[in-house]
Amino acid sequence: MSEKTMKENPMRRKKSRFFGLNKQDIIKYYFGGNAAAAIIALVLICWFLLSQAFFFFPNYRNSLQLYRESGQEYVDFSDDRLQAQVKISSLMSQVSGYELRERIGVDADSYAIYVNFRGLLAKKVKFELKDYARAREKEGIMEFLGEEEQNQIRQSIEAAKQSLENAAKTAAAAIEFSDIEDKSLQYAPEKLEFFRQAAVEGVILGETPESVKAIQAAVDTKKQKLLGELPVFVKLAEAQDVIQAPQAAFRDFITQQRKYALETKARGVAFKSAAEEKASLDERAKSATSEEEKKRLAIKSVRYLTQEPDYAKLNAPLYESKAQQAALAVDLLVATEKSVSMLPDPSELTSVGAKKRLGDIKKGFEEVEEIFADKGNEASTWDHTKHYSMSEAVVGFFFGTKWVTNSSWQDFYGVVPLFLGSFGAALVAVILAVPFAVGGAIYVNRLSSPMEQQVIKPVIEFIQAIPSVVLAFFGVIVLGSFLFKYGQNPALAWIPGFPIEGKLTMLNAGVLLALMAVPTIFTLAEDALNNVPKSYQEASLALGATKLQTVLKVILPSCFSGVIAAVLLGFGRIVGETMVVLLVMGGRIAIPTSFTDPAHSMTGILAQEIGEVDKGSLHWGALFMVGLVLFTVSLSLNWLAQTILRRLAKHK
Amino acid sequence: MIEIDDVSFSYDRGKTNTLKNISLDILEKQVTSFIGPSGCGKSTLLRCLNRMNDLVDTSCITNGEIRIMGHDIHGKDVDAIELRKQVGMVFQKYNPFPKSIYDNVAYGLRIQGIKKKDQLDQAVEKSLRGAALWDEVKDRLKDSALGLSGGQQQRLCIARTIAVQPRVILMDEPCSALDPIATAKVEELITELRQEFTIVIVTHSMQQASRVSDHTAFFYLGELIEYGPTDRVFQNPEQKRTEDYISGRFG
Ligand SMILES: Nc1ncnc2c1ncn2[C@@H]1O[C@H](COP(=O)(O)OP(=O)(O)OP(=O)(O)O)[C@@H](O)[C@H]1O
Ligand SMILES: [Mg+2]
Repeated sequence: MSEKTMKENPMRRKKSRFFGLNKQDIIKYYFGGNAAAAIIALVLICWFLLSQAFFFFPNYRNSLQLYRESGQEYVDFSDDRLQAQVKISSLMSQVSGYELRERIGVDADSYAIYVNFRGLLAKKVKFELKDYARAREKEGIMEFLGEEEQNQIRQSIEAAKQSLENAAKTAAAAIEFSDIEDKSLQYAPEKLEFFRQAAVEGVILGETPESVKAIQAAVDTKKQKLLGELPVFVKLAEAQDVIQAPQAAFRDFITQQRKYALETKARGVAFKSAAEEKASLDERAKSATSEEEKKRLAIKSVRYLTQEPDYAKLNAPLYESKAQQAALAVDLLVATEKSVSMLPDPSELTSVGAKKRLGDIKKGFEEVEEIFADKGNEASTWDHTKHYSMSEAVVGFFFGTKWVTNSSWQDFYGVVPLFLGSFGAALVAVILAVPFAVGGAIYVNRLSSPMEQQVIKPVIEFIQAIPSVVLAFFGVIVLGSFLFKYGQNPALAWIPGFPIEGKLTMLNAGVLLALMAVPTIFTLAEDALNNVPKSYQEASLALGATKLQTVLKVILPSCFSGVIAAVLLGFGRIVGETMVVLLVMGGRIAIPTSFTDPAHSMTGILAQEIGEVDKGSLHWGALFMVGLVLFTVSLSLNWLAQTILRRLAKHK
Repeated sequence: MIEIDDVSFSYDRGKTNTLKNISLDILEKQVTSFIGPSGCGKSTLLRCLNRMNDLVDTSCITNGEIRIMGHDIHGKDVDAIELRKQVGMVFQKYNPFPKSIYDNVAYGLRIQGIKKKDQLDQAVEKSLRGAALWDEVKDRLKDSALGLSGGQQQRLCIARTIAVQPRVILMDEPCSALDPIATAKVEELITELRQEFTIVIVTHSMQQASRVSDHTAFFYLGELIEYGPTDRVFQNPEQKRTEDYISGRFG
C-alpha cells in the first residue's frame, strides 16, 4: 500500500444516523419489536390467567371442607334423593297434562289464544278504545241531565263505539295465527275467522264474549269427564297420589336439618373470618414501629373470638337422625317403585309428548334407584371430620356437574355443564358447516366457472363481516321461532331431541355458529384445494374420470389433512365465540341431554358473571379457571391444526 | 386411425387461431412424432385429440374436424369422458397420484366401476409388465408412488394409461424431465408399445424423433409445414424451414 491512498474513501458509510441507528436498523427493530410485543402479550395473558386462577383450588377445597363440617353435605345427600324422586313425579303430571291436551283436542288452548288475540288487537286500537271509554264516562251523570243532552251523549257514545268497531274490524283482519304465540300452530286456518270476531267482540264489550266462554265451559266439562272416567287418567291420578304421599314427610325432615346445618355454617364462617382478621392484626402488630401502636393492635386482636366451633356437638342432631333418614328414604323409594308399576301402558296413550315422558319415567326410575343406593350409603357413613382432599376439589371442578353461584346454601363450581354447552354447540355447528364449507370450496375451486367464482367467494367471505351480536339477534328473533315451528313436525320425531321444546337451544346457536364457521373453513379448505397440483386433475381426467370422480377420489384425498386442519381451525374459531351462545342458547346451567336442549357455555358464563363478582373471591377464581380451560382448548385446537399443516408442508 | 381434417383452433373464442388449417392422418399402430420450435402448437394439437382443451373455457375448434376411427370427436354422440378412455395421455412432468403404486395403476379401472380384486390384480400386473416396471416394483406395490425415481414414475404413468386399454396414447415430451438412462428405457418401451397402441409423441429431441417414430410432422407457428415418413423428413426434407430446424439453424 505504498502507493497513494485515495482521498475520498469510496467505501465510506453514506447513510445518516439517528441515535446511532441507520434506517435499515430502525426498520429491523421496528418489526422485531412488534413480534416481541406479540409474544410478550401472550406470555402476560397466560401469566395473568394462571396467577388469578392459582388460589382457586385451595380456596375451593376450604369451602367444600366447611360444607362437610357444617353438615350441609349430609343434608344434601337426602335432598338429592328427594329431588330425583320429585323429578319422576313431575314427569307423571306432565304425562297426564300432555295426554289431557291431546284428548281434548284443538279447543284446549282456545282461551289462551283468544286472550292473545284480544291483547294484540287492543294494542292496535288503543286510541279508539280510549275515546270510547271517555265517551262512556258521561253515562254516569246522564240521569241529571235533560232529554236533549242525554240524546247527545247517547249519540257520541254510539259514534265512538262505531269508530272503535270499524277500527277493530280492520285491525283484526290483519292478524294471523303466525302473530300469536306457539300454541296456535296446530290450528286449522278456518278457525282464524272465529278468533278475529271473538277478539273484536271482546275488545268492544270489555269482557270475554259468550262464544269463547261456551268453548271454555265445554272444554272444562270434557276435562272433568276425562279425568274422572277414562281409565288412563284414573290410573295416572292414582299413581301420582302414591308417589307424592311420602314426599311431605321427607321434605319436612330435610327442612329441619337444613336449619341446623345453616346455623353451624354461619358459626364456621364467622370463626374463619375472625381468625383471618386476627391473624392480619397480629401481623401488623409485629411490624408496627411504636410501642403504643403495638399495644393498641394487640388489644384489638384479643377481642376476636378464636374458639373454633365445636362441630361434633353442633352436628349431633344430624348423627342422631341417621336411622330416621334411612327409614324415610326407604318409604320414598318403595312408593316410587309402586307408583311406577301402576302407570298405564304406553299403548293407552295418544299424545307423542306423553309417550316420550312415560319412556323417560321408566329410564329415570333406574337412575333414581342408583341415586338412592349411592346417596343412602354416603349418608350412613357420613363423617364431618373426614378431610376434604385437594384432588377432590380438582376433580370437583373438572368433572363437577353443578355450577351454582351466589347461593345462600353452598356454591359449586363444576365446569362440565358449561364445557358441554360450549362443545355441543360448536360440534353441532361444525357438523352443519363442514358439508357447506367444504362442498362450497370444492365447487368454487374445481367445478364453477370464473364468473361464479367471482360472486361466490366474496359472498361467503362477507359472512365474516356480520357482527356476532347481529347474528345473535337474528337467532333470538327469527331463527328460534323458525326452528321451533318446523321442529314440531311429526316427520322429524325420529331424530333424538325432536320435537324441539323451546326457541333458545343449542341447535339454534349451532346453526348460527355454523354460519360463522363457514367462511373460515371455506377459505382454508379452498387454500388446501388450491395447493393440489393441477397435474393430478389433468391425469385423472385424461384417464376418463368425470370431474366429480376426480374431486372425490384424487383431489380431496390428497388435501385431506389440509381440510381437517381447516375444520379444526373453524372449530377453534367458534368455541371461543361469545355473543351468540350467550344470547341464543337459553342460559340454562345443566347438563344437556340432547342437542335441542338449552345450555350455557364457558364463554357465556364469563361474559355474564365476571362483571358482578368480587375481586379475589372464590367465584372470581372459578371464572378464571373457566377462562383457563377455554384458553387451553382453543390453544390445543390451534396447535393441532398447525401441526397438521406443518406436516403437510413438509411432505411437499 | 386419426384423421385431422383442416383443423383450426383458438384459445380465445376465435380471435386468434393458435392452429391453422392443419390436415394430417395418423396411422394405426405406428409412432407419429410432432416436432417444431417452442410455442408452435404441438401440445395444443395433441390436447385436441383427447379434448383436454375442453378444460380451457374460451377454447374452441374454429374450423375442420377431427375423426378418430371414423367418428367426429366433437360429434353430438361423443362423450369426452368416453373419448379419453380410448385416447390416453402421458404428460411432460410425471404426475402419479399421491397413492400407492397399485392404486395408481388401478385408478382408471376403479373409476369405471371395476371392483373385483383378482381382475384388478391381473390388470395391474399386466400393465406394469407392459410398462417394463413390474420387476422393479412387484414387491412394493403398496408403497407410495412418490417414492419411485423419476424414470420409474414416468413409466408408472404409462402403466396407468395402458391399464384402461386405450387405442391411442398421446405423449407430450415424456422424457424431458428424465436423465439419459431413464430416457432410453422409456424409448425402448415406446417401441414395444407400438405393437399394441397407436402412439403420438411430442418431442424436442430430433434424435428421439428419429429413433422412435415412424412418421414425423413438423409444425411452425401453428401451421403444419411438413409431414411424412421419419426417414424421409430427416434425410431429405422438402421444405427449407424443416431443413433449417432439423439441422439446428433455428428453433
Ligand atoms: N391454456 C392456454 N390458454 C391460452 N393460450 C395458450 C394456452 N396454452 C398454450 N397457449 C398458447 O398457444 C400457443 C401454442 O402453445 P403450445 O403449448 O401448444 O406450444 P408447444 O408447441 O407445445 O410449445 P413447447 O414446445 O414449448 O411445449 C402458445 O403461444 C401458447 O402461449
Ligand atoms: Mg408443449
